[in-house]
Amino acid sequence: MTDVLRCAGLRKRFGDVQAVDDVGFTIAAGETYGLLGPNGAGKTTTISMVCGLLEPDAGDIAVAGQPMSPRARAAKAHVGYVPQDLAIYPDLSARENLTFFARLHGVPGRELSRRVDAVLELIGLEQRARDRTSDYSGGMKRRLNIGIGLLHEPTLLVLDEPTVGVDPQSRNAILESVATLRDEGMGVLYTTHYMEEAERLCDRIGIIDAGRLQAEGTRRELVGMIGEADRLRLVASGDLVAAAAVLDRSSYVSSTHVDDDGLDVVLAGAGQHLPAVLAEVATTGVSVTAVSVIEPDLESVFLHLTGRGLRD
Amino acid sequence: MGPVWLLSRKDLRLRLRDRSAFLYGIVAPFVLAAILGLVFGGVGEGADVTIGIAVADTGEVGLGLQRAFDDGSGDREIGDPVRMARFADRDAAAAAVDAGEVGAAVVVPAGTSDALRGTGPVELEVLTRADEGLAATVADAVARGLAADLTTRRVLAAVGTLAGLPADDVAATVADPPELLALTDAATDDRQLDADTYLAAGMAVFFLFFTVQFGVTSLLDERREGTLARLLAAPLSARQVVASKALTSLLLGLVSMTALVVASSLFLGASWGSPGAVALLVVAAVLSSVGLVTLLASFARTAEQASTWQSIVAVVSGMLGGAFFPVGEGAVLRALSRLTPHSWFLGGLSDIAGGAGPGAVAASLLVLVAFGAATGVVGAVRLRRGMV
Repeated sequence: MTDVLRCAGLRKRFGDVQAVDDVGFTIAAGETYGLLGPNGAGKTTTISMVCGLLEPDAGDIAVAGQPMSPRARAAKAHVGYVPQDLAIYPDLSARENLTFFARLHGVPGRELSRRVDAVLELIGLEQRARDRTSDYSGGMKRRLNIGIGLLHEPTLLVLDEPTVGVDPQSRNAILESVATLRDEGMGVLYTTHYMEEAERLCDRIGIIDAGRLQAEGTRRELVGMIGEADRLRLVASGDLVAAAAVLDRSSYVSSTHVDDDGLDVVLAGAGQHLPAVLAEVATTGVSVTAVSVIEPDLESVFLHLTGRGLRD
Repeated sequence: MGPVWLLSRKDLRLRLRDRSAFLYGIVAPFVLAAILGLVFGGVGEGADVTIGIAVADTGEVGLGLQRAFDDGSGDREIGDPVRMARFADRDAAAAAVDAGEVGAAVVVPAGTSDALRGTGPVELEVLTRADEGLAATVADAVARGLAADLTTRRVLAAVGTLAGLPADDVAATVADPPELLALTDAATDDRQLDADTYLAAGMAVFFLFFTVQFGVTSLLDERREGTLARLLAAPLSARQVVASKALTSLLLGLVSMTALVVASSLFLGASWGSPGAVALLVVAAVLSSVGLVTLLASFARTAEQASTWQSIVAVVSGMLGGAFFPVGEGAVLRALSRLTPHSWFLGGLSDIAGGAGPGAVAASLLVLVAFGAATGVVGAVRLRRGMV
């Protein structure tokens, strides 16, 4: 398959913060690539460089073979960008918003109406096309926000956390739309901190944290990185940090992670070691109220790689 | 030009929808100019300031003043807008002042002619009312003028006598003293705007600096709304985005000023002068305003901040530049005034009102365009750098 995006060695620093550090990946036509990481991991900075909004300090980006930079109009013409925050004009209708951005991308006049109508149908806003978008619900605005990125039939669609703050029904519709576009041959770069979305939608996933790409591969490949490890979820109260410290010293525990409701323990043979884990935790005075064993997933992978949860 | 015009057209559509630019650009300056015209109108155009004069002297001074009136009984207009009314004596004049029939009165008391021949003081009396400031000032000026005239004649008589001239010659010289100094204000009159035009032009240029904000400041709105990132991800440059905002400001300013020139000419009696020269001056003034608001916007982090700064600068420079009232005589004030585009615009219009063509307003044009270019280029570069 042809690569619609190639980037290598990307670096970007803001003052003392190294926001992106040596990030590189490729996306093929018809492939959805997920950039998975917690808030502040460097996802949006990476996307901003890929879309030509930011100049990298170092590294190369090519979209459909064209070098990308803030001045690269040829490369930008291949990108459909859907920002994380709504980027629509509230005093214009959906049709006016779409028409404006289509013209901005150079969609010719004879094609313009057809494309606008097609996108309105795809995002389900045909009936409200002439209403001002300030009167739309949050979900409708989100769908329009995505629709604008599709108008010029881009080679690469870049979606920056498009489902943040979206109701479950709209989120489902968005994910289905992205899957459809991928099936039609569009390359998709999708950032999210929702593990379920990455697992459901993405052909390949890059796990990013602290500006660095920690691992990359298909879901199966990533999960395989932690071998036979399971994730043990303990719903508990008490000095959870002390409990985690005790467990970290155990030879059979790979990593632990504490949150408000309890702690996660990544270990091989969860069933075999469960009595020992509970005994160790009991020595710290922590009270465990529920236990569950979770099959390895991307959350487990992230925990294994970074020692942190995706939603931290 | 394609993407620049496309962006600008979108902004103009948004501005037409919320009507704010229409209100700031046309309605507010037109209404304010009309109201100010009603409030201040007519001061220089025939408003009646009537001064009474009572001549009790029966000598040559009194007779001379009586001859100065056309028929010896009625009013005599001594110069627009001041009229004079004659009264038989001081009491009649005082009663008229108290009744408000005249604003003030000058009394030439009995014995003035005799006093003039002596060496003692010659006294004239001015009757005024506390609430008639303008009339009192005029009456005082009339009395001082009369006193100066009498003093001149007294000096001539004394010098002639001392020089041993024949009495007839001295009397003839005193009766008709030579004019030693002639004043003319024709030159300044010709270079002044009439009140209606001044108010219309002042309001137009004052509100111009608010109207053009809507274009450039919308760049900061786009940043807040997130649409700026979307624009920059499209195949166009940051330079084109800034240019489109400046174009929007320019068009808003030109439409606003053109509408005001036409409307004030049709409905407010303004007389702007040579259309070609006025058009050039309007374009230059709009360029200067766009440059200034671009520079101010480049220092602001939000549209609200930019709008506040731009409004403060617009009001201060409008006041200093004489958009509401002509600037006073102080050297510092005049120097500050010349730093504002408003002053150069109004000065250019005065030149045009004096009958000058485009060439005569070259200095104003040059300053306005240079001001706009300098501030605009710096502002545009700063805005563009802030976007990437």
